[in-house]
Amino acid sequence: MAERTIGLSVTRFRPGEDRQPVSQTFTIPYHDDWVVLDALQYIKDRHDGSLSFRWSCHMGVCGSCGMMVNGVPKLTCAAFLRDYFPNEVRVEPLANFPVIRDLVVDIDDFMHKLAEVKPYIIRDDLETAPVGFGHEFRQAPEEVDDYRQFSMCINCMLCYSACPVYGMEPRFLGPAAIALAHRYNMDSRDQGRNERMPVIGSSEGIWECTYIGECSVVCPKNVDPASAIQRTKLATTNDWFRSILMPWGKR
Amino acid sequence: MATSAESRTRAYRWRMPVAWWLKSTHYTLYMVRELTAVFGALWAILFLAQVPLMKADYAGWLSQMRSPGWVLFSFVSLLFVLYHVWTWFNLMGSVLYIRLGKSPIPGTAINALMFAVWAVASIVIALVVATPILVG
Amino acid sequence: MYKINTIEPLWWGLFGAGGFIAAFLLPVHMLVNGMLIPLGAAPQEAYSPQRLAALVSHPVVKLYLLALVSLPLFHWAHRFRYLLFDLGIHGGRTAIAFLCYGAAIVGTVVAAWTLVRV
Ligand code: SF4
Ligand code: FES
Repeated sequence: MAERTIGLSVTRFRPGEDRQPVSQTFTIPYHDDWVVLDALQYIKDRHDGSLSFRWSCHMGVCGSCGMMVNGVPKLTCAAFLRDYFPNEVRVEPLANFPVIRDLVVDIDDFMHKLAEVKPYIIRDDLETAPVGFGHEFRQAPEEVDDYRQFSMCINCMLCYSACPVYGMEPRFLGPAAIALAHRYNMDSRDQGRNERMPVIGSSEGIWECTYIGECSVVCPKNVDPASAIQRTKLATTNDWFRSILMPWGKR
Repeated sequence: MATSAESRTRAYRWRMPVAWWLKSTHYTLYMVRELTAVFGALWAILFLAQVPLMKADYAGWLSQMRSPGWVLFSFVSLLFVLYHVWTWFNLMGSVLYIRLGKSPIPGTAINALMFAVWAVASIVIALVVATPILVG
Repeated sequence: MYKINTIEPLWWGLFGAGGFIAAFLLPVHMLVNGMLIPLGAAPQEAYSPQRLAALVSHPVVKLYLLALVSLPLFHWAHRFRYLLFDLGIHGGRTAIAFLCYGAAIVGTVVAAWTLVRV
């Protein structure tokens, strides 16, 4: 039986040499248990060793293999060729980010934004609290439920790439950073909300979002960043009206 | 991984196409959803403009509200605003997080509750406005 | 408490309230006042001159009508402001916001004035 093949059209961009990305088509053997990342690795091994792309875990946890597959942001280690076969598969770098080389994008902007929202537990007594058994910051299961979904984020940035607002206004803080801020704000052990709110409640934060909702559609971990953003808008609005109506209140 | 200043200046800058909202049905439906607000507001203004006539110029109001233009515009507006209703209430479950004791109210239940309240409110308003049953 | 660099919560709050009014109240009025009554599908006593005059003179009805018009205007202003951005008008965002919310405020004042004089 003749070997079945599948076409992959892959974005190539060599910085300093190409003015803009071009696409190059490779025809490779088709295996129905291959994911797009396998196909890229096959190309790198057999056709062109200079093809550049990021990956690490090959199992949907590290979040580094995100690319546009047929125009949709996907983890390429979780995008099976069989869902596209026999049609050609188009692989492009994540939309909305500057392209450094081939399928590799510049993630610095996201990294800075992530740091800005302080995605870690903040407490005054973190240094002084006694450590050891019986002195943990305890949490009931229902308190974990308050934020569990938002803690699943793997920083893959598919949501940024799906977000037209981020595409048009790169200063927008963006879905995952706000979802992570919300995750810590909702954590009963955390005391850092007042430090995060000025960042996420700023004009470049939640207010840029118009609830297009595509971030939540493409998220591979069901984080639902769109919902985190709306909940934060609601909470900020409540706080704001309360501070106007009852300026003497302490919240 | 920090990107060097050099690779950043040589990077290719992606640009959002102006017609991005035509690229997927989801984006297009989002734009339709935003557009529904235009019909809601315009209809409300035109309706308010009729209110003084109801008292001061009854015959004038009758002919105005019976004009085919008003009925047609109301019909079109109704379609758009029903889409607003559908999208608005279906998003409520993701916006409202209410934990009753140990378990949060499921989003689908919140959505369903919204639609139920909407149906009851609509019937009551219809009975008040279109019949003398509740308010004589 | 914390401070933020914007008064967006005000506009978003009005937008949200308007979204609820538009969803809960507008459809039935479009159906009844825009279609059923004009097409003669409602009993005549429902919109007799006496009943209508009594209704629109009542302060509660006036307040109701004010909310019915004003809040959807703010709902429109908010969405329209971002709609223009989505359509590619990326400059003058402050001016656009000013004009949109300004229109809603003017609309509210005109509506209130109209209802007071009824
Ligand atoms: S929210 Fe989802 S799509 Fe966005 S970075 Fe996290 S895991 Fe990826
Ligand atoms: S390679 Fe780690 S998520 Fe795909």
